Amino acid sequence: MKAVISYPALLAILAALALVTLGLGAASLSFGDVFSADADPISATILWEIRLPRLLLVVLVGGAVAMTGAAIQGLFRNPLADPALIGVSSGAALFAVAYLVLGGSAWMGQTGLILSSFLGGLLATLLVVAIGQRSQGIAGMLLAGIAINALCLAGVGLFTFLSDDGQLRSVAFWALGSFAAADWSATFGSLLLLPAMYLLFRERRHLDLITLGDDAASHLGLDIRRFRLRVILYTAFIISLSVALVGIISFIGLIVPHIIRLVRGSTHSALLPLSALLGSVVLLFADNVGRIVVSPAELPVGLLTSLVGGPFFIYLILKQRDRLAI
Amino acid sequence: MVIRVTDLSYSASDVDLVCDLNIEFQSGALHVLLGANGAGKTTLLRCLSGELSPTTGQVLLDGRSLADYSLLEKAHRIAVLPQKSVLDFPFLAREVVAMGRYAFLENAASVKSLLKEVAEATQAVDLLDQYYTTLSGGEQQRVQLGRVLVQLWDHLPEAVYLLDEPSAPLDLAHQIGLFVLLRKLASTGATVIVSTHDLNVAANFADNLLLLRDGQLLASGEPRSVLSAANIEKAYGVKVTANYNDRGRLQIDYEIE
Repeated sequence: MKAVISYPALLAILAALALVTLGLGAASLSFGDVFSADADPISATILWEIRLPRLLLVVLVGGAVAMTGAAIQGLFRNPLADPALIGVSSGAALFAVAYLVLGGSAWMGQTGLILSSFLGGLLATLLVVAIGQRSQGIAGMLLAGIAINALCLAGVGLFTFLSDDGQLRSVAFWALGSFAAADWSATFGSLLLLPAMYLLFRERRHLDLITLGDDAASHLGLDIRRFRLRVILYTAFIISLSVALVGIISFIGLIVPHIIRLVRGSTHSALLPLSALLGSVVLLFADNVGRIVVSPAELPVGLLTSLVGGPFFIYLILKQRDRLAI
Repeated sequence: MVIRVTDLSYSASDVDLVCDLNIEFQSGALHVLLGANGAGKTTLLRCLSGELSPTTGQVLLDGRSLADYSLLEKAHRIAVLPQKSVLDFPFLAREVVAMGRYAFLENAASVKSLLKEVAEATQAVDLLDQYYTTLSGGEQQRVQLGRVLVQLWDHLPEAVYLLDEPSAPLDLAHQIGLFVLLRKLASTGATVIVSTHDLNVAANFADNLLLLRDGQLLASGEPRSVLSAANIEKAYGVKVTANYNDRGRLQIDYEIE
């Protein structure tokens, strides 16, 4: 396991998987097609307009979500924490569903959906932070997150109840998380994840410190309130944007950092980038499986990650409970 | 004089946890806080570290109010070991110790040599490459001690160490080793303020004893004068006889009903 969870190994796996991804699908392309696609215009279109943007989007979103999971677990000092704790996913979901059901797509289409769910994620997080900052520790924020989550999900339920059949279908599809609608505009949008990931990576030493506890970290010289706010804002940005682009992808942010921690320990200077790499690999693999198993139809990738992630997570908990001290 | 506490009170929900304390902590000395559970030892330490802001009165570090120090300034002067540590992520012990150097920008080589010195001093050398989460309670405490000591290891003459019951999870050998080490730190100029429930250790190692009861200072000064049978009974509600043996060591005997 130690050999696999390393930069060269993960990069090699990712590259190999990427090549397979470009060739694989309803229309299968050979390696020759992949490398000299300009020979055949249809293959070229499939490659350049469908598979390449999707590949990049999956890699970016998988990496960003997994890295954010690692950071939020450090921040909450809990290996079971998830970015959803700060309300960001449910806020994004609420605004996306509201947009779909209230008929926003008629006048602003897909771009409007992305913008409104992004906005929803940020607003929910800011609300959680505003309430949570009034109390001293991180517990206030956790409880505020639970309350805002519940409210947002109630809102999602309400809008689902109000929706017609067509809307319901797109709501469901979106809530399961899928890359089926990937195109270059989504991929370009996802490039904004990179600077946010870099900012998160810059917090690596602080994330190490905060695992010692708030008081211990501030005795060592860390301004925990500002640090906490920064990490939460970066997280909100990353999760809002990825939920907006591809819907909710569960378990990647929870499980990937777990695996890295089991093999490489918790130092965030290694944990964050390795989580990003493994997140890309896992999500790309899952997306490929989703594209192939019921080809030419597709399984939503979020469904697959939950289906595999849930049992795997339980297995991890049972197997490693001493080591994880949970 | 390093730390001076004037008219210090701290109350939470209308209960005075410490009340009207006036204390001077000289540098280059080992100060030991004694007192029953809830006597105010931890509250006093948390006021001294700036973790709690006093309800009234103030804490002066080198004549300047602690509240006026920035976080980083404080981290360059005061290192704190809390009574309980919460870390439950699988870091290597050496990584945990190295976190103590957060406030100082330095190269990996100098951290490494500091780490080595501190690990030797805290008898934690063979723990360094193990995962913190796999260590026993006493071993974890030694790692945390290393983290706290390394913070000011190269600034000992100005250092203030606040340690809340550091020896509680340690075995006898490591308890003695710790207090021998704390004495050494004090002799190089560091100010060490430590709470404990071990009266013998307090009597044998302290330069200055502070006996607290209900948030107030019952007695302070030389161990021999503070640890009288009368004071111990007042502080702990236990009848004892306190004798000093040939070597000048305190021996306390207590009655069991």
